[in-house]
Amino acid sequence: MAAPATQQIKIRCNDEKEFTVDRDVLERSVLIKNMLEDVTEQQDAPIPLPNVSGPVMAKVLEYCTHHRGEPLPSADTEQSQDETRKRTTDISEWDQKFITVDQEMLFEIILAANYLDIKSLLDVGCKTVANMIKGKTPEEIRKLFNIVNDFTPEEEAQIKKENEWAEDR
Amino acid sequence: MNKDAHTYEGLILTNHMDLRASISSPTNIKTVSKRSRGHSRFDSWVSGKGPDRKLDPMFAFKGLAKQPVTCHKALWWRGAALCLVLKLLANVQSTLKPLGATINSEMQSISGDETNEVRPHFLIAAEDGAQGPIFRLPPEILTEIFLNWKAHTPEKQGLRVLSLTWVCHHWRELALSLPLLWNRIDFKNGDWVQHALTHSQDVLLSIDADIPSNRDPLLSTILASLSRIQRLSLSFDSTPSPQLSTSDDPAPFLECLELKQFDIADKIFSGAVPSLREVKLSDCIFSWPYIPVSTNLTTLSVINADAGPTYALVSILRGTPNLETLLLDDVFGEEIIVECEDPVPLLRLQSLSVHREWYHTTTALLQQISIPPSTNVSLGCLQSSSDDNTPLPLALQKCRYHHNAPCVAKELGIMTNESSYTLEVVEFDDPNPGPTFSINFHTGTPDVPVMALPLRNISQIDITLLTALTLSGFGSDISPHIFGALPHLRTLTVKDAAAESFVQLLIDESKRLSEIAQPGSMLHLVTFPALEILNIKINWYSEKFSLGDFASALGVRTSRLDRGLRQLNLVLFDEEVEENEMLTDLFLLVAGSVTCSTEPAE
Repeated sequence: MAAPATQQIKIRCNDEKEFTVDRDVLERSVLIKNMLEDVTEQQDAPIPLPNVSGPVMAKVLEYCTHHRGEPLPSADTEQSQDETRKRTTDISEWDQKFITVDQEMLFEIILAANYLDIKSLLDVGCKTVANMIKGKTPEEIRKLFNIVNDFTPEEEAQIKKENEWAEDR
Repeated sequence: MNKDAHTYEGLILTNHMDLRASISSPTNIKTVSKRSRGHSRFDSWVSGKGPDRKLDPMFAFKGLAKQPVTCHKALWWRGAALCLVLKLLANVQSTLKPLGATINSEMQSISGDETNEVRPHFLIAAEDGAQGPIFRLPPEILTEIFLNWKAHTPEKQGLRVLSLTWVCHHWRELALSLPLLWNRIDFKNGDWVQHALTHSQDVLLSIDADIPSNRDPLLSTILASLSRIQRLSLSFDSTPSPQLSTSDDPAPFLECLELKQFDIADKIFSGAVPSLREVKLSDCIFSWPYIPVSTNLTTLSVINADAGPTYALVSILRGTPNLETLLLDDVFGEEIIVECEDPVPLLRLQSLSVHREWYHTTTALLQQISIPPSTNVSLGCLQSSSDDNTPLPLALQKCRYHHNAPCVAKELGIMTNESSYTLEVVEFDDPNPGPTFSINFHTGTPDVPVMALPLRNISQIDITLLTALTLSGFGSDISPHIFGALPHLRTLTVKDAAAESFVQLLIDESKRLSEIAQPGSMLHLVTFPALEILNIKINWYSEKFSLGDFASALGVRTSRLDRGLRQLNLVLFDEEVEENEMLTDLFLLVAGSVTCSTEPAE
């Protein structure tokens, strides 16, 4: 039987930071939702989240609070969103503002969304990174994400060859 | 998954390290023996402490060694045993030596730190601080980012995918192993196409390619993957057209086929195209029976062909009950009259467009199909030389309204120029709101008697409920009969020569009214009591009439309107701008509101 919407749940992050959050907000995370459904008795001990730090969890909870009550993607939806799904590039205005953070935090949020299984947040993160890559040259992408060009000489030769394809328009 | 892989690889590495250490130092042979049961038995046997003789492969020999023998014999046996042991050791050494070399080379390729686990390099790089935080993302998330990036990339820019592979080794490996990144092939370079075909593995393909020449192998390269092509768009820009030969390969996943300037010599794809939804052919050589169709077809667009008579197309359409869009532009050959079967019901048709066809061909087509009243229809006809027994609007009416339901035009636009005459009925009073259709008559004859065609053709349509009317470009005088009775007309737009005719008509009528001095007696000539908006574009300084006469005539006319003219929109030519205010003042006497706008003089 579903618990009342007002039930408060405690979580503990890897830096010992604790949050007390409404159950319906936390249940945006499929991981936590499944955990809560598996536990029949009410427990006072906080749920440990060893892969998420306090500041990142605070951002994740901000997202979950804003989107509380929205339908979670069902198993069918997830199945239909497979490799052939139509990926839209739209990010809502609020989400855009929410995800406007430094790169360090952006990737932490993506990792946390992946760990906590919050599909919509993961989508927003991936779309944001995709938007950052859009229209950029490889060199610009390297500069943006601090990526080292580590190609082998053989790969460099192949890339040079591939570059010539672009001229054959 | 990765973690398991690391652990697994790490364990392998540990074993290799032990082995290498064992081989490099003879004293370590005990280390090997401790880890290997086989070696343990061998070791025990050499030291004479073998615990498990039964399982020892040298059982027979060892059995002999334990027998009580004389001193000489014992020495001999021990000598023989020693020789055998040395021989065996030599064999073992020769077996292990190449293995040791292999392990050594593997170890050199790995970092010198023997305690390090083998981990994906993107993780190591991130921890070393050599790469940015994006390297913390696991491959599955980076994959998702790549696919989202692809969704951002506009069509016809499939080549841009390559740029992802030019960032770094890790991205290149990941991108090349992601088939969905390579399934959009929209580039004509053969090497690129081959590259994309290879890396797309077995996912469905979307191909959009210009075939550079008739003999280019690109076409055959593409068609070799027909079994997984979902969308195929091929164009060719020179002559002779490449031929799509009779191919035995079916196209089970083909949904959209676009061909430009191809020669379709036979039923392509063996006629097996069960998923086909869209067919768009432009400048192709083919006959109607060769056109690939399926029951799932929703769009058929054919432009510029000589594919045969209408009945051949209609027999194809019998197999396309889900058709929503049918666009035909200059596609029919010489019409052959055949005995008409029951019209083909195209009950899902939303848009019908037939242009640059003979009047009688279009009529023939309309008589063979049956479409919903809500279908948007656009027809453009070339005037036939022969007499056409069935007027086009009647045919259209019949095909739209299977039960001869009323067909009432609400908005009518008529335009002529030197070579064409357009009758445009924009809106019908339909049970299903929103349909539009237009009919264009290209007479090829300048100065068509204005009302000759429309009266003959629109007489089949009741225009008494017309609410809007546009007249422009008449080459001769306008007939007053068109205004016979339009009691619901609210908006009238007159332009250019038609506007001159209209103004002249209004002035003449006004004068006759004055002469007769019996107001209302001639009102049947120009009667639109509901008129609210008059849009007029004319050269106001035409020598044919004076502005005062027109304002006066309009005043006489509008004073008889039920509600009066609400809005008069005057369009001026550039050079008349200075007269703007004067015109506004003049016409404010006869209309509630007057606007003046400017358009360049033609």
